[in-house]
Amino acid sequence: MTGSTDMGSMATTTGHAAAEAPRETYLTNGYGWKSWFLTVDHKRIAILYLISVTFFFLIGGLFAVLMRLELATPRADVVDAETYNRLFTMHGVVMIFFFLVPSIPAVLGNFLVPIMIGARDLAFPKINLLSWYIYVVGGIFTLIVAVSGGVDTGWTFYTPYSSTYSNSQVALTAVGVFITGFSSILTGLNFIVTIHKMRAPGLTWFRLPLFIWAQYATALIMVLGTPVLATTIFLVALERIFRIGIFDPTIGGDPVLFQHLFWFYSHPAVYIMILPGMGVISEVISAFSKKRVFGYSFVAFSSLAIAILGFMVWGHHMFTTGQSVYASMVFSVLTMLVAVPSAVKVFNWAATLYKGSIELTTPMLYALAFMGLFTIGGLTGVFLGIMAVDRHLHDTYFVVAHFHYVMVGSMVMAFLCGVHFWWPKMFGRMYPEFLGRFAAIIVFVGFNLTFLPQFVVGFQGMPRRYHVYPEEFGVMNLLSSAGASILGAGYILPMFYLAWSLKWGKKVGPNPWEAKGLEWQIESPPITHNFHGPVRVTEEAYAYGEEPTHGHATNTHGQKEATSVR
Amino acid sequence: MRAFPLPYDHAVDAPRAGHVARAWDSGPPVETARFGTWVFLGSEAFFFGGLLAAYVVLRSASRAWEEPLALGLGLALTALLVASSLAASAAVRALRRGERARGAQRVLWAGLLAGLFLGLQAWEWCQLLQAGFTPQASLAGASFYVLTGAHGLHVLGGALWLLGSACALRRAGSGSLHAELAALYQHFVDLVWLVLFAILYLS
Repeated sequence: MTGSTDMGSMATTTGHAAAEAPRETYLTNGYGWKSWFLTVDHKRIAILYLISVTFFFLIGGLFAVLMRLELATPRADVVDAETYNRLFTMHGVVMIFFFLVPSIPAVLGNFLVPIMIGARDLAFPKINLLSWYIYVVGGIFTLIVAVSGGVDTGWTFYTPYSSTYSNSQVALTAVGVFITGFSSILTGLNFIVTIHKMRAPGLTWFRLPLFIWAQYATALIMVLGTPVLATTIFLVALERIFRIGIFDPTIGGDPVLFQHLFWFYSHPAVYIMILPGMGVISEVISAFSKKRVFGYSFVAFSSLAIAILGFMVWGHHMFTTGQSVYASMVFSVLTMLVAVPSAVKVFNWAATLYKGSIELTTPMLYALAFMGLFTIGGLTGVFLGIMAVDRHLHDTYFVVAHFHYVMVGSMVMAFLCGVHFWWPKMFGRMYPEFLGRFAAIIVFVGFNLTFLPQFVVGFQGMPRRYHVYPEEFGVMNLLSSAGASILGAGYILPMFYLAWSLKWGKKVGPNPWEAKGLEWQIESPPITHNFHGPVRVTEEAYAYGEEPTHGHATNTHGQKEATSVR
Repeated sequence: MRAFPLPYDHAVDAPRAGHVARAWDSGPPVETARFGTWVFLGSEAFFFGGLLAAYVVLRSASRAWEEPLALGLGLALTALLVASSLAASAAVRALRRGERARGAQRVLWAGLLAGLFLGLQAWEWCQLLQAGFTPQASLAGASFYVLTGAHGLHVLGGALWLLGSACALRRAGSGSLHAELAALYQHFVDLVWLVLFAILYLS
């Protein structure tokens, strides 16, 4: 934990930055539409992604609002069964493929990966821009689907319903998802090559921030898992268009084969969605405890372990399909094994908090919420991975609650956490802290009120994907709908105050959180080339000093501050 | 404590084995592009892996599996693709020696041979379709057309890449990196074909 990072000529420039008049940043480097839509700057592409994923989050949220409205009462009073099927399908497709998968990697990852490793840009900047365009084209297909009647197969596209019987826009949706997959593959490829080949001198693998380790593990899954989804979707589309019957049992095809192929991607895809979030939490917990993450290398390797084990557990989605019971047993054991690296992360974060000097800022509130909610989401996943319990809980609201605890309670929290944490870096202005904390608490309360009752109704036997239900589930569903409206308010609030802060937020210097890491040593917002010259790293990640600081800076600490300013 | 700040020393820091400390000059360096292509091939391998796994599952569960394929034609297809691959690697050797004209010619050959493969495969498809071996008729038919079709699209991509880099080699002072990556891709497509040939024509 010794040493400091030398920023060459950059450090001096940073010192002068405050005194000088308007400074050229990546945001002021060109204003025309071309300077944005033809940019190859990873930071501008990150902003493009931020706008587009937020747009799709709102679209997906709209579907959720309609669903919760319908489910507020046991009767069908807002939509009919057909429409309801389309609502939950569109909600799933939009949220998974157009929000959750690209959210942290393509927004925060794009912005931060080159900066955190001391590079000027990603390895392939043009491919980076291409991946955004591919995402947009896939998104347009999905919007066309949404306005032309939607799709009703569930986001899982199970055959033979999707390939033969459904009368909705399956082929068009398949094309949209297929196209978006390429965006994901290209982002992953870019990250892997960048992290391998572009690290600044002195930045060894075990000096990398844990965010980078998480992005690397995610990128591996993106590159290796997504093509199998492409295969699967390609086959479904062919089957629908040419009637070839690979998944059609009437001519010898195998519908369960579809599920194997689909979950071979889609289970690892769950880790595409959660791993980057874990990376964000590692950064934030460390920054607001002012301590090095406890057990750095364990946390780093747990990301890789999750990525690798994630490829071997897909069968736990299929306990009730009649797959071999021995296969199910193996899948069940492997599923429980994934809990080990996940728990390593949670315990190590908790150990990082121990004796840290904790500041309860907005990002920290989200990070703490993540730890609690991810623990619940992860542990209920172990319940579902046990074959006997899954017999009872399969396809009930228990499953819905479980994956929303992981996807919303953890991943969306991590996304908001990261956006708040790096917002001053991205735009050079601080969001209003009080409103931030207020919104974080609203989101936490709203979330739990929405999804905790779903564990209960699920356990009592309420199946998912129905728009009507028996009277006895009424109270819990009403609570859930009420919670959803609170949650919605919690999500809308940041959109307003973050937009407000772009113009009126308090201006900040390079390091408003007094955090460690290369990104906090450059200006906020950064210049187009991130650094003013080549960077050389001479210290470990999270070098917060040997002792936790309890308000009084020790002598060594004081000296450290002095050297890093120089 | 060490003395700070440590200046960035290009002589010490930049050219380390397996560690490119560039990104401050323009243009993608060879190593990055080559490494990126390998990662992409990993992705492609999983794409074909999914298809092949599906084929094996379907075929092992099926009682009747009729594939009226001519072994001679399969061998001819294989020969064309292997020849294309050999031409591509000969081209890379020439380019590494600095013989640009010869390299460009061999890249062109590699592309044309891949094109010839596609032509022959299209002819095979027509023959089979006329003989009643359609994708709708049986699962064997569906699998055959899906596998060879998906592979054929990749051959098309490889051929276009090779032809494009042949053009680039003739024009400007660059293009040899492109040719090398296209050759790498062509070898991969060739390798996949060898697997397809074995499972479709030989079993």
